[in-house]
Amino acid sequence: MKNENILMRGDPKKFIKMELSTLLAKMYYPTVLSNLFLNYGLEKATEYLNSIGDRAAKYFLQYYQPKADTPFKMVKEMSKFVGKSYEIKRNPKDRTYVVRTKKCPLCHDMPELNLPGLKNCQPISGFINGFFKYVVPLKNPKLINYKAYQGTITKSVASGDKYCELVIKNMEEL
Amino acid sequence: MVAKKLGWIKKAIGDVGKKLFFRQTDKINMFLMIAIVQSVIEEYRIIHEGNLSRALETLAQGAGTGASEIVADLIEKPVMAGMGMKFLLSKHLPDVALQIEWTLWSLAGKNAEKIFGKPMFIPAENSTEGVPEVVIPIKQCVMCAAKTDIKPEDLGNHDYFHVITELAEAAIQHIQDYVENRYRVLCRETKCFLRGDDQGELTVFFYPKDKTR
Repeated sequence: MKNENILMRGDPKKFIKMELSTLLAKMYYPTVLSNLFLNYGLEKATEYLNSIGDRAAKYFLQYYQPKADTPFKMVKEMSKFVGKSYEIKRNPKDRTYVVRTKKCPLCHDMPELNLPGLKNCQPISGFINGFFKYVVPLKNPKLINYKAYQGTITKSVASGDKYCELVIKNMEEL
Repeated sequence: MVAKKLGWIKKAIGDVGKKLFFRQTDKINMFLMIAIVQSVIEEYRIIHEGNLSRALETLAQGAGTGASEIVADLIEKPVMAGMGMKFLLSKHLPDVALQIEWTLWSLAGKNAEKIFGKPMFIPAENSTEGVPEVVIPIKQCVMCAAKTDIKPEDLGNHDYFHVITELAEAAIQHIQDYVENRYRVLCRETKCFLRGDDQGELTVFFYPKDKTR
């Protein structure tokens, strides 16, 4: 099939409206984690996982333009795509957003892996960083520089924490 | 004890069960999940110096073990009114087509019908390989939709769906072993948009174990 008939293969914009069980992730994702950790070590594996999240954000934003116009609303809007159990708090004091969940799709009910220091949900932080980086050309708001936001996974269920936590900091204003 | 063949009552329960399972399961946006999988493939491609075939192979490695463990858990775990998946298993090979249809529905809900055609059982005497097969048409491919940067020769001996065929193969193999059918299961992407076909297609082959020693 030629590339001009590409939509005959399937329309990504329609797939954005569909949901999929996380069961598939539970089948293949642990292997990705152990493969990267055992072959390349903690530091490099973390780098690869961030890069995976960053690129996924780029792919996603090719077909989805967020409706929200503030970083807080954008984080809320995007978290709905990942799952329905996210709790998002704005901390005006240190200008951070804290995203928490007990049902992270990359941690919840995943088989236990003995990969010290590696966080299952590391690609989520890569995704958030990529999201703010790639959303700029799509939707550059007048007042806020989205580029300046950085997400860090601070807690992860798979690493023994009670919940997964992503802290998003406005790096420029800190 | 595993049934010899699924009767109409079990078939009706399975039809309800697939909907209940999808309602209860944790879900993620389908395109986001696909974007992550494609990104993992791309990362492995970079690691393997541009070799896509090796990247697909690396992603699929070990995925079968994961699938087998999860299926083993699902067989015993009560999903509906105390019943586990084992209640809906049988030794009758043509029932596999229906079980695959239920599985696709359980994973993607009613959208599974927009993506996949109805799985068809083909008896050995009518099949291309001379062994029983289940053919699953793919109407829209979540993996290769919008992929314009992959040439057929980049794929080497693997399918772009390789990780999915590995998962399916391991899951169905586990079930066939559980019901004590002596088949070696093989799943391949027999038609692929990326290879120039006008639709996608997965085929599950059931080779008698005695003949494949």
